[in-house]
Amino acid sequence: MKFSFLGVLLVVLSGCVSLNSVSLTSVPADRSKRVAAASERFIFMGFNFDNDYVNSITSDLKTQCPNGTVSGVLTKSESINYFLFIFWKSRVSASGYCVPGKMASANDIIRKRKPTDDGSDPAPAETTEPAVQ
Amino acid sequence: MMTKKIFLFIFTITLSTLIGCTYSVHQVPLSDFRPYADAKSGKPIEARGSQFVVMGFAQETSYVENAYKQLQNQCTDGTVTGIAAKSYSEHGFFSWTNHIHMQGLCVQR
Repeated sequence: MKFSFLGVLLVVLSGCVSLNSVSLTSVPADRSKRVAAASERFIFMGFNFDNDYVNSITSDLKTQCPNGTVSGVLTKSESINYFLFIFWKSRVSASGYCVPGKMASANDIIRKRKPTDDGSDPAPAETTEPAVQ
Repeated sequence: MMTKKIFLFIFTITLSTLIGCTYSVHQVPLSDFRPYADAKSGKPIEARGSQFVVMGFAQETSYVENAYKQLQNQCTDGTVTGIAAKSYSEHGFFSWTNHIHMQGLCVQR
């Protein structure tokens, strides 16, 4: 009797994880400082009125890298399903690397382009891009 | 005759249990190409990760991180850029295998 109760409890409490999506960005050469953030929400019978819990991830990553660029970001969106899919947890996690220094903006790159004689669109100029090196 | 049918049935079930008969690609995210460099100058690298799941019972999805680390280990002092990560499943009988296949370009400093 005790064992069956424990068995039921185990089934109810243990969740089955499934991966919904993965995304990633270019990985920098300097991988000395790792940053990570995660956010999750418990959902009962599908009742979920917004997805605002995801927004905190960006600010979390920014806080961990105030004077640098976050690069090499691996983002995972997962669902952890509990007993009979009546309730589940949605989790979004992101991890990357904080690279000191600022990344060259698109405007900086365009400014560095040299105009061609025939007025055609020039090839992008070589940039050093210290942030991602 | 009956024995032959039973054997054929068991053989079919065993075969469908052991091999994936259908595949589905879930998504293929592609990262940016940064820094700007000649594609020929980079070294193509790839990494794979997988997870065998029976009837949906899986406790983690760390195979993704493992593949990501594997990719980085192949480019220790360079930038990994233009990463394509194909996420797909190989379906079997009451079971499936989740796969992730990452391909990128290692550009040295």
